[in-house]
Amino acid sequence: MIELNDVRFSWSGGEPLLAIASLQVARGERVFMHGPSGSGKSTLLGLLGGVLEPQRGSVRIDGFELSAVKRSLRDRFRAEHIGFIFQMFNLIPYLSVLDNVALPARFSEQRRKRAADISGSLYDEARRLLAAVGLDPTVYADRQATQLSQGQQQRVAAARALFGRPQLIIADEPTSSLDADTRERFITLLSSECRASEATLIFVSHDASLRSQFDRQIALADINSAARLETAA
Amino acid sequence: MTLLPLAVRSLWNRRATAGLTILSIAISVALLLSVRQFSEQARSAFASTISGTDLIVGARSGDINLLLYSVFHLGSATNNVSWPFYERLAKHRQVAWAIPLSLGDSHRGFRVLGTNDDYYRHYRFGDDRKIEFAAGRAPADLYDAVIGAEVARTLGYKAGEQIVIAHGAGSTSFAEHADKPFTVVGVIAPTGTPIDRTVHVSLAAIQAIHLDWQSGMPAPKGQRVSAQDARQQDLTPDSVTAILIGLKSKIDTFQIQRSINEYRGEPLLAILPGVTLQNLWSIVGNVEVALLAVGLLVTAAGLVCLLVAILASLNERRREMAILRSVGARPAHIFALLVSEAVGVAALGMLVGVLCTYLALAIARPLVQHTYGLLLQWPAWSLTDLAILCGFLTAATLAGAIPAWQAYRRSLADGLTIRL
Ligand SMILES: Nc1ncnc2c1ncn2[C@@H]1O[C@H](COP(=O)(O)OP(=O)(O)OP(=O)(O)O)[C@@H](O)[C@H]1O
Ligand SMILES: [Mg+2]
Repeated sequence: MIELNDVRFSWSGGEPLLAIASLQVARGERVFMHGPSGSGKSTLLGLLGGVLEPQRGSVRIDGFELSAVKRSLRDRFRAEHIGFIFQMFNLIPYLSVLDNVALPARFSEQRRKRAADISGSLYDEARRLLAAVGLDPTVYADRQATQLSQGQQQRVAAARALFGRPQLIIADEPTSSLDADTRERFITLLSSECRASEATLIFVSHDASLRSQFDRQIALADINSAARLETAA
Repeated sequence: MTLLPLAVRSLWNRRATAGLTILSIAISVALLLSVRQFSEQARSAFASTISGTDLIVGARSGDINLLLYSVFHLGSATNNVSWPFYERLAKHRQVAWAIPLSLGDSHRGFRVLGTNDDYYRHYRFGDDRKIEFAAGRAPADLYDAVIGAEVARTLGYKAGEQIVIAHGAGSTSFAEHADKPFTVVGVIAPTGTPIDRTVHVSLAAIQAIHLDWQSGMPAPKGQRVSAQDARQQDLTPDSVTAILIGLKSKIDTFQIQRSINEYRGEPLLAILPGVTLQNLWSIVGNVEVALLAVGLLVTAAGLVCLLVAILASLNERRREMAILRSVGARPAHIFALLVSEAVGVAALGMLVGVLCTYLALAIARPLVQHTYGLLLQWPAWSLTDLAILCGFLTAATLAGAIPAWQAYRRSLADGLTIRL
């Protein structure tokens, strides 16, 4: 599913931040990636999402060579195949909860089709996902995104990431603004939803205590030789 | 893509700011359009001050000067046209009608015009409109007067009113023809031309009140001619101030004009009112250009408002842009979203501006008609107005492209990192 080979990345003019000889993630695998703050986790996710371009090496998702194509193609690929969840403030404030969940359909033909295939219509699928993440659609669907609690907002973000069954879900510290209880529940929910839609999940956090809930855990420092080079120097 | 609903909802979310921006654009557009309408209407009102007259004849002076005193009743003639010449002209086989005008006296600041029945029969203004009476009739008796609509309104005169004519054009003239009072017998319906500000009497009346005057002074008491005695005298004038001519065939206009201008009997000048009106407007028209420039500057200020509003919102919307990017919006989408918001605000502002122009006119119409007797026309949108509106939208698009470009660049640099 994910294949990184000999990838080098540094922010413009800076020190090399990432040097990954090889990273492979299988389809449907749920991976926990951790590392200290500033170690380059978000940067790596940017490479996976095709937002950033490595200076060297290849990034393949589902057999698609991200690093070899133009930015507009990478943008399209991301729209079709990847769902993102961020740390906080994931929602567009002026859209309703339902519209936030169905937002990917505006930019991706495939996800729009798949969503419609699953539940009959876009909004029905959005309602189904809301229910799946534990938000009663009859109560929350028409609320303004800003009227939800942090935990609820993150669940809406998860529903949106899952909308239209993208093959890859990338979550960048989605639980760090949540309290311990909510965090547990959120992760359980996300894992099971990913399993249900057979999506690969990359879950990033600096909090190593969450690792037990995932199929596999990766410490960024273990695969990133740039960090070792730096500490050695 | 279905970006439009996003743009609409984003604008609705910021409706207070967006509303104010729309308002400021509406005001600036309304101002520009009103200025345009105003100058268009002023121009056409100006051009329609006199119509149907082929030539204006006066003593030789400047052509604008002749137009000013004969049609606008502004300034005064340096010299007159002899009565025999008028008679020759009136009988000329190519001339359909000739209206004699005799100016020089006034009544409480309003000019007094001496003329004959041909004036009421042949004088035309605007779109071939003739003089109509709101009340009463044309003068029949020697001491009958007919007043314009504004004279009637300002001085509160009605038919039957007794008035006294003052010698000279000033409103504070002390020399009055008090011994020969006139009776107002008619009020002319509003025309929107200098007629509204004029008191009309017969040519003979002008002659009568000056019978006993010598070099601008009333005669000593013993030599006065009474109003009744004047009726017995020969009241044929020696001269007139100007003559309006209608020709039987327009083709003769230039030929007659040339022969009058080359007439050896006395120094005369014949002008084509249309041409001279245009010359005059080209002098007055500079004001129009200045007004238009002000209107354009205000509109530019409206656009700057739009630009400022969008730029100010960009920072708080940085997160929104990153979220949109993460769900698949390409930088081009971000660009299009911001530009369409700018264009939407500008278009709405423009629409409100056009409505405001109508509203302002609807309010101004009765006021102006009541105060000035001028009937404002509903806007006649010309290609120029259309071009102005299109130009404005284009400018708004360009203005919107500035913040859109900034957001585009930023969305590339930020990637998916969401910054506060
Ligand atoms: N847009 C950027 N431009 C330049 N440098 C950047 C940019 N984003 C991140 N960096 C740098 O790259 C390094 C890694 O940042 P990154 O955000 O990947 O860390 P992280 O592991 O996600 O940290 P955290 O756990 O705090 O989110 C940091 O030193 C940061 O300063
Ligand atoms: Mg990070």
